[in-house]
Amino acid sequence: MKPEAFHPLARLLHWLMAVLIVAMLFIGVSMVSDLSLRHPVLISLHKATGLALLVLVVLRIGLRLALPHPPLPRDLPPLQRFAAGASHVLLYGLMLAMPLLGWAMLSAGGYPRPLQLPAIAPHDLQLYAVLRQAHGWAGYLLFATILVHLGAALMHALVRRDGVLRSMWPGPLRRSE
Amino acid sequence: MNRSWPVRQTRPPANQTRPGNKRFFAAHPESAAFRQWAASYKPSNSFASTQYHSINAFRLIDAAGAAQPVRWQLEPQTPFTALPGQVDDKQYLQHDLQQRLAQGPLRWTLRLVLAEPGDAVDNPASPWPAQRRSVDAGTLVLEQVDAPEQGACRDINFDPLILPHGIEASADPILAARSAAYSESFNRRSRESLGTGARP
Repeated sequence: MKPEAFHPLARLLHWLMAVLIVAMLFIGVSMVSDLSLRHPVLISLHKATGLALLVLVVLRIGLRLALPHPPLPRDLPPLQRFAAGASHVLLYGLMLAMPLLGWAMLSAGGYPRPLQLPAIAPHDLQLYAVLRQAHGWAGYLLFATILVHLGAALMHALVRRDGVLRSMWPGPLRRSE
Repeated sequence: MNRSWPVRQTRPPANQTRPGNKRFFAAHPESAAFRQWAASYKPSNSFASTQYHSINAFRLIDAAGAAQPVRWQLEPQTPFTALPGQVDDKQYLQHDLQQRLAQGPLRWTLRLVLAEPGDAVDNPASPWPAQRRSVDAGTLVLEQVDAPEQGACRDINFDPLILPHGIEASADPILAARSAAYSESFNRRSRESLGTGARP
């Protein structure tokens, strides 16, 4: 039988990562233009959080595949059903791609990596140029996808008034009516 | 050491500054130390006989974890000769460097100048007294020079905050500003390399 809500561990991971990812997007955008003593602090924070998010997203993809999750409302139109599926694939893809692009970009640029991680790409300036720009654009795409995700969650909660937002709600769930 | 700085062919007398500079100096009295230094500075006729030094301080960490603030200097082992007043070759210093390297390697002594309590470790505009104790930390040997358009010079970000174990940044805010600016510069030249297709 399908559950009505996501597993508590899945909900914990969702909200933990939501906070970290939103923080990362703002840290990422502000650190590149910051010339003050905050710059090196933000850079190391960005690398450490990025690495943490890589571990978390791998764990999360595992949980998503292993645990049963609530189905979408049965009366959801096919187009919205498709949009829900596609946007989630995009979210998972970007959550996985962002830290990997960051890691590969540091490797290709000949930069040191946190925890002395090995290089996952050869030291190559042209490859660095591609990866660095990809990391930036993927960040903006992730931000846009998160806004769509947030909009969809609010649409489910306020317009359709179905149980979709409640199924991912961080607090304790009410017994089903 | 292989960046292309064109040699200025005619140098204005030291007491003659442009109006823009004058306004800047007036607005930034902390530039007095630099002006004092610039007034007595005699450029050498070769990169090989030039002294290079960090204006920023770094912290050396010993085995017990105690920090010693230092600034580094590269003292040339080639004797000083002043730059002639008139130089026609715009690549004079580059050509000189190539000629000298064709005859053999060039050497500099790496010297670490140790700060004493009270020395400014977070202000690159404030020089330390000349009598500060220093230690010889090694010799830099230069054997060949690459073109700046490709190779190690282009493909590495010479970020002053990328430091080996045991050396840390000081609280100097200019180090952070350099790190940020060099990163943007590295990104731009990496994008430029996509257009030119030059590979090391």
